[in-house]
Amino acid sequence: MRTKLSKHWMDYLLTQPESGMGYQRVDVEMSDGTILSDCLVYNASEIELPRNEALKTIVKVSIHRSRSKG
Amino acid sequence: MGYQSVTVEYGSGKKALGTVYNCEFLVTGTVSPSVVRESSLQRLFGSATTNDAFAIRSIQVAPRSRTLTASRTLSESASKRSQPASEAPLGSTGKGSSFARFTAYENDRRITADGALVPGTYATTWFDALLYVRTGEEAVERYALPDPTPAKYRFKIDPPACTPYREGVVQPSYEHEGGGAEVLFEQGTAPRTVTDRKELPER
Repeated sequence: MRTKLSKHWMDYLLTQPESGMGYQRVDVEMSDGTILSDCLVYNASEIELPRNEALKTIVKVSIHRSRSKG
Repeated sequence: MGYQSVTVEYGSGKKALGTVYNCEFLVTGTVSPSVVRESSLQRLFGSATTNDAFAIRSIQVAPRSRTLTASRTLSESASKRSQPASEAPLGSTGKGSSFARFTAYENDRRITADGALVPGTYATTWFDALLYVRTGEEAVERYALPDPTPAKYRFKIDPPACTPYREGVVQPSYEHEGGGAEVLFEQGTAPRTVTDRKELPER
């Protein structure tokens, strides 16, 4: 499910490198401690999350470092 | 398209394989036309001489089957050597080099209000964009974009000479073949380098 990021994370992701043209691969930590690996962010503004995670608050975002893509 | 694989016989009796571009320029050797870069050809044409033409006794165009086999072998070999831009050596743009960026978003957030690319932004070469991508869906396939929304907005980027960048090849991913040229501007580009935006058909 595609969800719009808060301005805080949108601004942060603009300071981070892309993983390819128009997208970033990120690891995300949610407010309940759930960690989601290798999520896609488009245009530094919209993130793909599993439906059951989409309503939680994101507390940390970092660029995913693995080379292999989906 | 635009080339012929040939066997050349010189006046001395020596024979060589080669490629003729535009029915005009002969390049001897076994470089596949599919891996020759536009910049290489431009340099080549600029420095071409006609001396060898006088020594050529005959030119035979190779049968298409042999051409395809040789081309496929060389392409596969080249593909193995190809690397993504992130792993390519750092280079710098030449005078007049142009690039393109495809996105599904009319408001591309990696482009600043004053027409610069922020550091860490990907693009492709203008040559690759013009030659291979006519629609937003073609951009998704060639640049292996994970977002299936047609990347129909094409931005033109004209950075000044000596802008650092890395150039590589888009690897297959997200069920797309990739294969397009990709460039990474690790330090971004200067203001007013994004010079044009065009909306392509979606499919």
